[in-house]
Amino acid sequence: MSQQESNYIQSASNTEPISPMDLLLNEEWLQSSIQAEEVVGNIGAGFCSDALLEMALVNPELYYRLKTLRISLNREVRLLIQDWNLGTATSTATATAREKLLTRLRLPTPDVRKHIEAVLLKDELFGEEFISNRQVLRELLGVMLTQEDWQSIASVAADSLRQQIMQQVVFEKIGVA
Amino acid sequence: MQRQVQLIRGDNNTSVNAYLVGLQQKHIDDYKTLWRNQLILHLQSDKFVDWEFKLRFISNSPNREGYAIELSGETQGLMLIETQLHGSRITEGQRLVYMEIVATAPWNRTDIQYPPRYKSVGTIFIQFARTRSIELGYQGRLGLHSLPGTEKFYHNQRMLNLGADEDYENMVYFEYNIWRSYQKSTED
Repeated sequence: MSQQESNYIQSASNTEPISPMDLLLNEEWLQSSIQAEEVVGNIGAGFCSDALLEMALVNPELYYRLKTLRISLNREVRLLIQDWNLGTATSTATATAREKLLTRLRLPTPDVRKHIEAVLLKDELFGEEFISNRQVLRELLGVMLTQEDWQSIASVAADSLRQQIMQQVVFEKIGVA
Repeated sequence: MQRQVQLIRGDNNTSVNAYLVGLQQKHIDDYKTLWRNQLILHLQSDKFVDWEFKLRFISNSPNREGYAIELSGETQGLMLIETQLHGSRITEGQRLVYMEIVATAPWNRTDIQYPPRYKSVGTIFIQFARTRSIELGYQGRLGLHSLPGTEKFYHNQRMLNLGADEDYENMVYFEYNIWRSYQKSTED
């Protein structure tokens, strides 16, 4: 509970709230919260992976594991590319790699599907928010991202760097003969 | 499980009794028959969420809980929480309740209808999830990834903004730390 929450409660009564639900009984606090709801329009939260449902429908029990796998692959590819010291091209390369991964998760080839399902069936990998076995993730990345994908990732990253250099040339007013 | 809560009427700001209950097929049916067309019409980001699938899944899942808020026989909001896999990013090593998804009925969203029919659905869900965290022994810790454009609401709830989370497609991660009353009682 924040100091401000505490102040709201204290201003309404001298009793300490027993539960967070007690905040709802405080008119001033509630009105402030409702106003914030109105401003944003829809208070939605949550990382939705329903785009992966097509694959999960083969085995619905694996849906949430697929979601865990997705964010774990996102993290692993970020850490992998970070290690390459690509400078400002890092974020572009990472974003492109993630797009490729999502495409593979949505529409896997039979071979990729086989590898993904093998990982999803390993109970020991799914006891946390992320899969911590990086070796497993690296091996899966190797199967999911083809040579062609990496060429594409490199090309997008190179374009990004080229654009930044040219912008700097204009910004710094460096004459080009 | 049934808990009485109060929603606020959008047109006159008076309160009305509603019920926070466990997620059931009836709520999914409401989503499909009463919500979905409106969500599609107004291009809402959660228009294709498969709640049917989620209900089927949580019935066999020990670490997920689903809830709905009902009023006048209609579903006013839906929420799913995860209770065993997520850890605090404020205090490493501590578990928390993670809000997997929360959604309000289309008629309660001011970007679809103004004034909304009922207000406070999101506020109730957040404080209830925090209460579940206390009940589960997590001392009120709660985490969530906010949808783009909703950050202001979670700021207002005094949740700590831990920034855009790259691994979750840059959704901003918010977390409630320990509930202070609990902290005080354990110190006594």
